[in-house]
Amino acid sequence: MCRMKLMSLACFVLLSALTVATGAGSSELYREDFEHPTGWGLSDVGWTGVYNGGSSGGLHTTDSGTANAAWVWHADNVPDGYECLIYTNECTVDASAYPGVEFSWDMRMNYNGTTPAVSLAVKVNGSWYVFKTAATTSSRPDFVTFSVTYNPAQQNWDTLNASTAGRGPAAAGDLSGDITAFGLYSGTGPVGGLDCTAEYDSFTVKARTCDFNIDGEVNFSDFARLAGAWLSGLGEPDFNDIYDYHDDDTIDGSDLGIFANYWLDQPVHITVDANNIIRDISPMLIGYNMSYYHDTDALWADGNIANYLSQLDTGILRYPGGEETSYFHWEYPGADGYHDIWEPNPSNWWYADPCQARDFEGYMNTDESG
Amino acid sequence: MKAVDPNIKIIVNWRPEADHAEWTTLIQQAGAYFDIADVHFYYDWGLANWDTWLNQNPMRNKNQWHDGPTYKEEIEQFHINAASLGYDIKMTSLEWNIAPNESVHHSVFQHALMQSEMLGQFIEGGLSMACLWPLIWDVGDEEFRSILNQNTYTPTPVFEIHKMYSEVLGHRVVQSSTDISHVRPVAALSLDGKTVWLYLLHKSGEGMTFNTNIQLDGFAPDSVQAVSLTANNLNDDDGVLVNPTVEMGAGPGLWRCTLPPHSLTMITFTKN
Repeated sequence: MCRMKLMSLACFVLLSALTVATGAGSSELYREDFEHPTGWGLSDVGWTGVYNGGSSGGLHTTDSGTANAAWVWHADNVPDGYECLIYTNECTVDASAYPGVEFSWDMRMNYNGTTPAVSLAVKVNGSWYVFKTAATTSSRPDFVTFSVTYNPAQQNWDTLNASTAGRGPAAAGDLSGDITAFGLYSGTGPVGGLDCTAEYDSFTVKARTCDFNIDGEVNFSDFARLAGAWLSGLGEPDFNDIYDYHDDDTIDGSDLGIFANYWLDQPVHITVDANNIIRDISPMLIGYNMSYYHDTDALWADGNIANYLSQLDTGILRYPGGEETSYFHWEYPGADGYHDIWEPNPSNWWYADPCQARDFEGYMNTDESG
Repeated sequence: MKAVDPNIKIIVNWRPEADHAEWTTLIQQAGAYFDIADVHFYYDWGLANWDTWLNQNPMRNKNQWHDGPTYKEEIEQFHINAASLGYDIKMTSLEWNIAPNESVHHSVFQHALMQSEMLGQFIEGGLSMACLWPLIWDVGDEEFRSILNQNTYTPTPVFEIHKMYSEVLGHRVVQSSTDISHVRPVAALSLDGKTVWLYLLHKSGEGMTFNTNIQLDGFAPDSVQAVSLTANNLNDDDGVLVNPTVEMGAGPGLWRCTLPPHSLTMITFTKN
């Protein structure tokens, strides 16, 4: 559903110590948001429910698609441990040449038991990636938002135990591929925990970029912003996380090195193949709804409206209109349909004077003569 | 009716979600008796929001009851479904627009730009007919925006958007793709093969231009020109037409265009 290809940007290092103004540019050049339509829940385009288990330690391999999840032990191609997951339809991300990709999701769950630690997990290309971000947690009757940043420079995820066959890669260069699940993972499982309920509100994929001002180029303007934060650390006024590619809470040479790899490239943003004809374009895509009683003759008398329609190569006019055709007077076309021409009492608001309406014969004769 | 007049074309209007199962039922049961399916597309009824739209790339057939795929995908899938059931039923949208939202003020320009993505998807998806609602009606400020101001009956930014897209009517869609989510392309080739139109909808900006690099394959133009509809201020109802520069890039088929913030740009490549 969400195919996102992240462009390649080539950079070059400028080692001159520029002291220039900085700006708080956004680091998001690419972003995909998947929000649950009702705020929280499971059923949504792109996402297909959670695994459902009746008790901890069970063996569950089927997707129930219900809202009742459990800490479950999966048998196929999943981490050794327990997880509470939202499963998705295919979502493809190509981050192979990008300085940073951030996944975040608003996921909530509750459960009765206690688990010593919870990590975040994303399943990409059939392999699980469990991130170091963890939270010691106990019984959660309320909900919590989880997020994680994937950083190719630091490779700050815990790869799964490579000694266990089919349990994920020992290392990875980037996190590109088809995302099919996200959620929470616990290596040891809950203590005394039974069922949990997991829901999501949104799942977001964002790409970090060196193009801080998002003008399509990585250039001096972007370098100036990085330079303005030079050697700043977390909590200091000049620090901004968008420059901290290395994710070590300091803007330093490691971040500049990554920035340099994206300098002054001219990436292709748009591709057009004139040899690849997809389909014909209908001549009737520019059209308008008429209103059988608002489009009065007086409005058209000077010819301006007809001229405007001609300028647009208008291919279709829909007459007598839309919903108001439910009140169309076949005997008196052009009469205001929201009033009743047969109503005898003029004091009623829906009364309409039939003398003001033209009957069908006169109406058609007029049009033909025109 | 067809027995009386075999040439008559019958249009059936049903649910505003072309992927709804009831359309399949309707085609199965009555597909032999109608020719055209009319699906009304009102974007995000009651909740249409500029900011939501900006972050929805690409735009989807979304409302409070249906969070569907893109309009392009719905149109394509409808035709596939009808064909699989044995019927050549064309899809149309005889009513479409950005739906009103009484709680948020949008300028006419904002609605025009939102409309432009819908219309671009109609072109790409192969819609047969489309009629904006309305041409003239008794509408309030926050209701449906049309090509004419409903008080002065003079052109609005919607008019300019439709005028730009009218260039490609009757021609052919060609393949285009984007690596950036906030620039949506639509490309077309003229029937005589001498013109390529490339529409680029720039959905972000925040006052910034965007330097777009374009790889144009299969066409060697002799000249190129561009026109953009943007706005000096998003709250202004009126748009502004400007002519951005299009330059040759560093390699074969490479072009470079600076897109104004929040804009629809039409680049016209022509050869003799």
